Amino acid sequence: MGYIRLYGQFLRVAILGKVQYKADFFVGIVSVLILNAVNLSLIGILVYNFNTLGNWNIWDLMFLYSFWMLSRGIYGVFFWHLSDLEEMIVNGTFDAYLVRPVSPFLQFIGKDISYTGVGDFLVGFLGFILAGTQIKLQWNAGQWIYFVICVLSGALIQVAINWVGASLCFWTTRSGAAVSIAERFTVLMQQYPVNIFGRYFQIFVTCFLPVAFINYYPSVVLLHKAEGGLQIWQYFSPLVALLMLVIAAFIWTKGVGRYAGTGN
Amino acid sequence: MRAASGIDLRTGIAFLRNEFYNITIYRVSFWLNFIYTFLMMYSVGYVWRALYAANPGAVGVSLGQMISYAVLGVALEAILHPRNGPQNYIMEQVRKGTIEMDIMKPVDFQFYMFAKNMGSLAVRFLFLVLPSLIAACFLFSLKLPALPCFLGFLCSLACSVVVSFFLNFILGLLSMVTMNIKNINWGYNAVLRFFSGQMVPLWIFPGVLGIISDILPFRCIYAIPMSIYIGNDAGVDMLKALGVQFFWIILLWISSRLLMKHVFTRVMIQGG
Repeated sequence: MGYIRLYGQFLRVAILGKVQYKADFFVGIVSVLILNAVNLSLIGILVYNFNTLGNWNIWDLMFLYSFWMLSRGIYGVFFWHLSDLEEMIVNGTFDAYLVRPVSPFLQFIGKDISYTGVGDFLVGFLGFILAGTQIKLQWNAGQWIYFVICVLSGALIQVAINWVGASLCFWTTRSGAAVSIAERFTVLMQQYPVNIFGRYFQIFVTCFLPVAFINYYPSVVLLHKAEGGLQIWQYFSPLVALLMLVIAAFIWTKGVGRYAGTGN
Repeated sequence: MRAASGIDLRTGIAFLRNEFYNITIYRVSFWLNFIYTFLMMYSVGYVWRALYAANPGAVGVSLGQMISYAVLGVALEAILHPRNGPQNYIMEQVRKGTIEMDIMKPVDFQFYMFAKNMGSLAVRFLFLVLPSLIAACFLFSLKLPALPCFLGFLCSLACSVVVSFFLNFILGLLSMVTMNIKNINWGYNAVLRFFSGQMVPLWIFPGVLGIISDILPFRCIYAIPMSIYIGNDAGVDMLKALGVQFFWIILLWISSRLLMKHVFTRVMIQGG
C-alpha cells in the first residue's frame, strides 16, 4: 500500500514537471495524431481498392488498430521511459536509485510520465467508437469485461517486452538498437491480422514474441473471426500478460543484482 | 571557380573513405538492420498476397510486380530513409555550437554535406541494399526487370538519392533557424511515408489524394524508381518520370542554395 502512495507522489512530481512545457505537449499530441492518421489512411487506401484483407473488412481492421492503440496508450503514458534505462546506465544516473531505501524499479518507473500515450489512447478510443458503431457490436456484460481485461493485458504485454528489452542493458549496456527494431517491426505487425503472414510467422508472434496476444487474438475472439472454430488458447491474453510480467520481473531483478555487483 | 569553392574529386573521395570507416565501426546495429530488412520483406509480401487473394484485378498490375515493388520499398529504406540524411548531423552541430567550424571549412558547405552523405549512402548501398536485394531475388520472389527498365531504374534511383539529399539538407538548414527540428523531422517522416509510395503505390490513391501526391516532390524518392523497375512506367512514361525527377532536382538545388545564403547571413549576424 505504501508503494502505491509513493508511486502516486512520484507521478505528481513528474506531472508538475511536464506542465511547464505546454507547447511541447500540444506538438507531441499533434505529431502522434498525424502518424496515426497516416497509418490508418494507408490501410484505408488498401482496403478501399481491394475491399477486404483476408476475411477482415475496413471496420474490422480499424477495430484491430484501435484495440492496439488503446493498450499502447496505457502502456505509453506510464512506461514509455523504460527505454531511457540505456542512457541512464551509460551516464551513471541510475546509480543514484540504488543507494536510496526504495525499490529502484519504483523510482525508475515513477520518474517520468509521457503524453504521447495520451494521443495514442485518444485515437484508440475514437477509432473504437467509430468501428464499434459500424460493426454494430452487441456485447453482453461478459464480453465488455473481457474487452477491458484484454486491453489492460495488451498494455502489460508491451510493458513486459520493453521491460525485458531495457533490462538487457544491465548485461550489454546498449540494447536500444535491438529494441527500436523490435518496435518498428511490431508497428507493422499490429496493423494487420496475423493469420495472413503464414504459419511460421504466426507461431513466432504467438509463442516467442507474443505480440499477437496484444490485439489480434482478443479481436478474433470478440469479432468471431476464428477460422475453423475458436481454440481455447486464443482466450489466453491475460495469462500471457501475467507470465510475461513474471519473466520480465525476474530478468530485471537478476540484472539489477548483477549491475550492483559489478558496478562498484 | 573550382579551386575557390574547393570542389574537386580528391576531397570527395577523402570524405567517402572517412565515412566508410565510420560505418564499419557499428557492426551490431548493421546486423540488426539486416534482420529487420528480412522480416519486413517477408511480411510485406504476405500482405499483398492476402489482398490479391480477395481481389486479383483491383490495382492493374500483377501480384508478381506488386511484390517486387513492395520488397524494393523495404530494401531501399536503408538508403532513402530520412534518418540517413545530413540533417541530424547539422542539428547536432548546431546544438553543440560547433556548426561554424563546418561552415568555415574551405569547402562549400552544401558540397561538404553532399560528399559526406554520399559516402555513407554508398557504403550502406553496397553492404545493406545490394545483399538484401540479391537475397530477395531468391527468397522473396523479387523479379529482375528487362534491361531498359533496369537501366532506367538505376538512373532514377540516383536521382531519388539526390532529391532525398536536397530535402534532408533543407531540413538541416531549418534547424539552424529553429534550433530544434525533432518535431519537424517527425512530421516529415510521416508525410514521406504517406506520399512517397514506399508502402502503398501512389497510382491506387483515390481522387484528390492522388492529385496531391502528383504535385509533391516526395514521389521522386520511392514511387518513381520502383514504378520504373516493375515496368509500370515504361517507354515514354519512363522518360517523363525521369523528367519529373530532373525538374525537382533543379528546383530543390536552386531553392536550397538561396535558403543556405539566407540562413548563413542570419547565423553570421547572430554570431557577431
